[in-house]
Amino acid sequence: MSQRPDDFYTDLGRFGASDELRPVYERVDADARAWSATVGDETPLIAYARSLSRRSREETMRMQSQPNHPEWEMTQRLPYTNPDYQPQQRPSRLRTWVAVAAAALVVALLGGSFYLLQASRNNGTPATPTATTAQPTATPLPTATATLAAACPTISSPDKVSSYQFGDISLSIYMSGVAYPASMLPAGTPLAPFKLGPNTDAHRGLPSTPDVNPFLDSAIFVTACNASKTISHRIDGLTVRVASFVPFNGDLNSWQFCDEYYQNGQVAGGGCGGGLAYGEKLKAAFPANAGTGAVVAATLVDANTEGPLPLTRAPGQSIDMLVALTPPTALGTYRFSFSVRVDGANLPFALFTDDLLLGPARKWTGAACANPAMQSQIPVGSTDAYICPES
Amino acid sequence: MVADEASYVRQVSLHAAAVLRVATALVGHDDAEDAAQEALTRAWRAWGTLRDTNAARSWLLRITVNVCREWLRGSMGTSRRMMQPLPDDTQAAVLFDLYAGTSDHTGALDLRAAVRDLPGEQRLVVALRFYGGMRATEIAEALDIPPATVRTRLHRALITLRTRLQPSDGRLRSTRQAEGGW
Repeated sequence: MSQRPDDFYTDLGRFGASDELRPVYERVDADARAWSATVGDETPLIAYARSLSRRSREETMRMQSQPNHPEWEMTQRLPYTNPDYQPQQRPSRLRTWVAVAAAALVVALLGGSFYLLQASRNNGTPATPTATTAQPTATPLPTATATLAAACPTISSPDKVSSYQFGDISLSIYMSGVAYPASMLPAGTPLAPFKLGPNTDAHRGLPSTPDVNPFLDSAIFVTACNASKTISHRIDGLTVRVASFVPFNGDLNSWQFCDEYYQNGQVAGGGCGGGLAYGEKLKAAFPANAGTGAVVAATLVDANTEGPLPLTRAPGQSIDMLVALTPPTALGTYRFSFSVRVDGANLPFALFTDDLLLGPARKWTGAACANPAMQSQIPVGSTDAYICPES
Repeated sequence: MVADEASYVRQVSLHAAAVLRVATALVGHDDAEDAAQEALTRAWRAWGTLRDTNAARSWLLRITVNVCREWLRGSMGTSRRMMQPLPDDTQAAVLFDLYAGTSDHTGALDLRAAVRDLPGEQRLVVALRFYGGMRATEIAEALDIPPATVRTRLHRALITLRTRLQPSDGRLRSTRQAEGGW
């Protein structure tokens, strides 16, 4: 996914953003996004911050800022050696988890032979599905299992990962880090400035679920991994089904943190962007009136670094398929399931357990608060953050 | 004042990825974690001076940039490289391996060499904007320069890159063709 379209103009200004510079801008941008996949995991840093906060300020003041100093080694290089370090639940929607996932994919692709040695499975024959998601599902699926086969990388995502095992194929379905779903405002919210909660997370006190109108062009990943120790499999494509639909009654009001907020007399916040590393991008477009049970075949949009489907996956290899969805138009909460076609046969539909609230919504933004009619309702001198309806 | 531990941890949780990315862009993969830790340590020491947590991201990134610039000047840490957002070190080699034997590999190398050859001020802005993922206003704040200056440097850098990357047929290859479609 590219950065927001107006970044080019924002970065260069009205007079600097000439069309002749756009190709080189996009090229550097694309390269930087590829490069970002090599950036490390921030989780140890967060653990380090926690450990700092547990120390007295005086103690941290005594820390030496010289990495080669023994004390620094003992006190500051905490994440990998200190028992304080425990993997933490990541904050939601951090875009860089994509980089982590991409790195895991790289490891899987380059180190397949190594993983082979650790693979616990050697069942290469197509089998009756034996496992399903670790998350509760709303549709009957095969028996749950807690872990994937050893040969396949574990998907690291800030959100739920719906994980399945069908014979040799491990499937993981999850939300990308640049899906940027919005939050739903409370029912009955008046069309007036709405005061956000404290800045403790991106949702600012609004509910983090369901995921409201995420950027479905770049929201859902289906990763298929060949967990066999010995047999290669061919990934042919996938189909998508509307697994469930619950209509939404009333007006949907939503705020996406990318749309900023209004505070201290100006628009602030925002900061969306980021890139995706995917193997294949497919598109699944549902008819506008499709209902529960509707099925569409995904078509290839972009064979990225992998070459187009069908693709043969050696033992331990996986393929990340970004599935761009065009959902039905009815406003309501959807769940989708995905069936991957392997070696000419369709695997059972696997449910993505995220609730997606999709459909027409009234957008709330920070910029809308600049409207005089809205400004007049914001208390003079307030330092709180507000969002306002666009219409 | 927002000098409570919980708010510090919350803000670091939100922005640690950005801190690490900026550090990686400036000092390279090998030193990034150390530099980022140093930045967080300094931030913790000065946390009581932050008046508004809404400014935490910019504040943390500014500290990170300052730490990294010290790092690059060799005044701390184990810096071995000058500012190389596209380091020719082991990590970069791993990335390049992904494109080995493809035109993407060549394209990436050309681009990265061109970025590395930019004048220092321009290279820094390119590194922070693209590889560090910072917004122009954040860069301006971190470097203590006007946002217009950031845009000017970025503009000049892109003109230079465009000239250096111009293929012999006079056309710049598209992003997808050149970089493998990330």
